[in-house]
Amino acid sequence: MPIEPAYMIFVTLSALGTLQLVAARYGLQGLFFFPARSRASSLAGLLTISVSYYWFFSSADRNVPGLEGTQLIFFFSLSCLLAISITLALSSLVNRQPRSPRPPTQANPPGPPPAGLDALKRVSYFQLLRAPLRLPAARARRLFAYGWWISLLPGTPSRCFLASPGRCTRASGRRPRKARGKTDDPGDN
Amino acid sequence: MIPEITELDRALFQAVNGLVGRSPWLDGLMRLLVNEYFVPVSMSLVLLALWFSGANPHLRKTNQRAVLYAILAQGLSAAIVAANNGLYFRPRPFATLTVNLLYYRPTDSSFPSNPAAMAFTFALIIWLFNRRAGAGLLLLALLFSFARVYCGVHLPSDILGGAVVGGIAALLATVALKGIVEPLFRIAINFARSFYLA
Repeated sequence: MPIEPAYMIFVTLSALGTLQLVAARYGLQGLFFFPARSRASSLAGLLTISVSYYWFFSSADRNVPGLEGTQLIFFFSLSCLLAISITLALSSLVNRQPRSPRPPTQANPPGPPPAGLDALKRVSYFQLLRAPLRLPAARARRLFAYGWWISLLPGTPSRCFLASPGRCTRASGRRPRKARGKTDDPGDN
Repeated sequence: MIPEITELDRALFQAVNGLVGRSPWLDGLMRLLVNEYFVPVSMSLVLLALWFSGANPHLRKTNQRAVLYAILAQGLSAAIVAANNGLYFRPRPFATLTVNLLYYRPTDSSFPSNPAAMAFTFALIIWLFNRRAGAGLLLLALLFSFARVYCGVHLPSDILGGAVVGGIAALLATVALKGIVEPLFRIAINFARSFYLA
């Protein structure tokens, strides 16, 4: 095999193994290839790295002229990007089912999901990417289901198109209902 | 003084290179470490691991800054070596001495050692941010450098030159260019963070 594909396979496999090891070490369960099994992910990572190193260095003599410095950087970067993409795609496929929520603890405080890589501790990458898309899609569905005609009314605030219809008082033509027994006018008393 | 240093350099080289053939196990290990793949790929994989490592967001951000500084310093180190090679050429030890060669015959200048510069740049930069990972990388850099001398492709002074280049590149990146690159690194990390990749 020529050195370029051999090097790319070697780096891609090693990087895949490295990512599994790091994910297992820091509990990034959304990156696991074996759902919720950190020991299996560690072992898989170690095995992948060992096999890739063994294969690359035993398949041919590597102490001969090969890749130049810039080629090494180019193929390494390409292989790393490939490994990251494979990890994100494959882990998202095997972690499709959302996990049952953990009871809140000091390490897992209640509240909104964490930002950045920490978000991958509970959900897969594709689930994270889908979350921001889900909200506009739901709003669009509502708009086309029963809200589109509101836009024809003059002076309708734009937020009414996007908010749920119950909250949009002006477009529905009704005034907000007052609580019984109370009036706005202090002179009534 | 210079001839004495040259003599010492050659004597040290021949002492290390003279070990070739005494232990097949050591020869095999050095042949594994000497090439352009084993140590550079291992060090780069450590950088990849560091990008995703950190018990909390603050530590992870420190590691990610270290990775970005290491990449910048690597570029500076390569530029310094290229500039030096344009001005000064030193033949490889196998061109002037009797050598037990375990590697192919590179044609570029022997001084400073480009692989040593690369390895020490990575190791020193990471050591500045993460002592544990940096110590591991320094050990790898020392092994790599020893293997280059053992296999007959570099004199010890080439390695020393490479380590100095690595140190200069690390200082340039983390001290001289810090004011310029730090905001850029912050933007890069926040950008990656918005895609859950940092």
